[in-house]
Amino acid sequence: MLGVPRPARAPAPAGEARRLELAIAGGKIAAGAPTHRVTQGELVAWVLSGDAAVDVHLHGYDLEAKLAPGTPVMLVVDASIAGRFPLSTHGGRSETTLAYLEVYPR
Amino acid sequence: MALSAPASAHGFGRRFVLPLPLWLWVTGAGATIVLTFVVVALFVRERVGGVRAARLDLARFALVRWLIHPAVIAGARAVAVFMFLLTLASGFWGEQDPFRNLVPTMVWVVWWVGFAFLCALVGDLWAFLSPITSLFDWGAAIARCIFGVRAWFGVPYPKRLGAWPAVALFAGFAWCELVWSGNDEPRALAQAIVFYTLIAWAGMAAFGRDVWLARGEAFAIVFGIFGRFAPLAVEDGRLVLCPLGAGLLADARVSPSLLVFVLLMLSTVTFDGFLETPLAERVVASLYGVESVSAFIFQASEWGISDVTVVRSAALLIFPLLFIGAFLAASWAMLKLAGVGALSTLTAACAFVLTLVPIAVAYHLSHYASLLLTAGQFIVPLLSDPFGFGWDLFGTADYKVNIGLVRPYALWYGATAIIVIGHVVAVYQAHVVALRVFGSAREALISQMPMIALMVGYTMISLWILAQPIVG
Repeated sequence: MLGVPRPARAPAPAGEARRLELAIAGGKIAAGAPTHRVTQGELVAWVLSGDAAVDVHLHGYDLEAKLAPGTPVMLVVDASIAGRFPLSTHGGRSETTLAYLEVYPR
Repeated sequence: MALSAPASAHGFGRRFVLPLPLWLWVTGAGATIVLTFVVVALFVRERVGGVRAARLDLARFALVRWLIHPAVIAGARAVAVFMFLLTLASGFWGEQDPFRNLVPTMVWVVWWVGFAFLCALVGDLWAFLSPITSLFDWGAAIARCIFGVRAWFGVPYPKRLGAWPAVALFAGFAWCELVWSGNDEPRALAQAIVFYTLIAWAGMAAFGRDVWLARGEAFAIVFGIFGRFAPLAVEDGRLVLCPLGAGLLADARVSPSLLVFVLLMLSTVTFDGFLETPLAERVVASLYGVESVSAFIFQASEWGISDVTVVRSAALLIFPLLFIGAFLAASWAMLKLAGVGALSTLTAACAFVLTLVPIAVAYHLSHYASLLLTAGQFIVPLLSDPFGFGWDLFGTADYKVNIGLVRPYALWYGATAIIVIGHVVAVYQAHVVALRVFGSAREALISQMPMIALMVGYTMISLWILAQPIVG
């Protein structure tokens, strides 16, 4: 219900979707983890692209995606729950936070 | 160098709260200052009543008499011991995945946060629920009845030692909570618990049960301090209801070792929150740029100690020292303003330190309410499957945590209100203590300004931390 990762070339979900983008280089974000703010109830189409094969995990919403080099992946998030959710590389003892999704109540 | 961040700063469990919006943080800060002046103004006009404010003897209520019946208390202690042993068993023999094993959630969320909440809001429940004490008491009873042996070696407790053992043990605990990277590993946690319990039992057997509980059992002291803030207390063998925070004013002053203990406790609670702020992240990042620091960190990594451990351990050492320094400075300034030559800074500090506790309690409640509400829900599936073996004892093993349980507005307003209330209680208590220490109302009023300023600063820091986005 919350969303599913799919290739970016697939059409974005019908209805208004907020489009966010994130480019991962060398396993992390060059400028430090950015924070994206959306409003509760919005549909978010988050396009992730990277130069390495990483697993990413959106905490809270518990969405995962596998990135392959050169192939963008879209995380579709139905932002029904308010809060601040980290998107991080998945697995092992060390997680790097790539970005934050802040969902604000109306 | 990529900074590898552990999953969270605090022992275990993520919080997904949004930072306090700017308008609410400003309102909270403003309310803090305004109410501080209101309390001060009230004191100018009226003489403060005695500390022996209204006490309500609760034994007059039948429900209460039933609740404090020895059989009920014995039953509650048995349940606590059972949970304690179950937790240890899960740690040693269960699945070692932190999310499927009972230990991390039980220790860091249910006990350290949830039980602390209970003690702050209800009373010092650890005094009679502590499984460490219960097991010792039962063991002592068995030794007495069956073997005719007393569980006490009669070693006299050196008076100079004060509560320093508890200070050392609490410092160790704080390190485990805030720095130790293995603090979410079930077996390692269980081992640490056993280690601490053995030390406690050794202390109780050597010096006497009550002596050790007052001087060396760190959690008896911590929950005792939280419990002093709560409205329930045991006085002269009776259960009474008293005003919030009244227990903190009960003693004239604490011992120097307890002074350090309280300040250590306060600073680690704040440090926990500070670690998750962007400022802390920037400070750490800039530290890596200092050559001597990065050289030391490299050396430490050769010894197998991670960079995060080194930096956080150093910060954990410095933070409480800053707290202690600031508090002693405020105490010194108070004495200077009051012109009281006979008192030492240390004596004044020991008299005032407990008045800071309401601010720490308020911060603890507002900061961790969200953790309790989200990570605390893990206990539901875990009770059905504490070992992670795939059991389903109560049918709740499939329970999915609902992280949208509380709306952000409720958390925001609640947190801000609690912090402002805690501050007002603290300011009021500082006035009462000042009257006690300095005698005349006028001297008390002028002299407290440094302490009031410190309290306002402490509350502002608490609000500021809540207004920071959580990083890491």
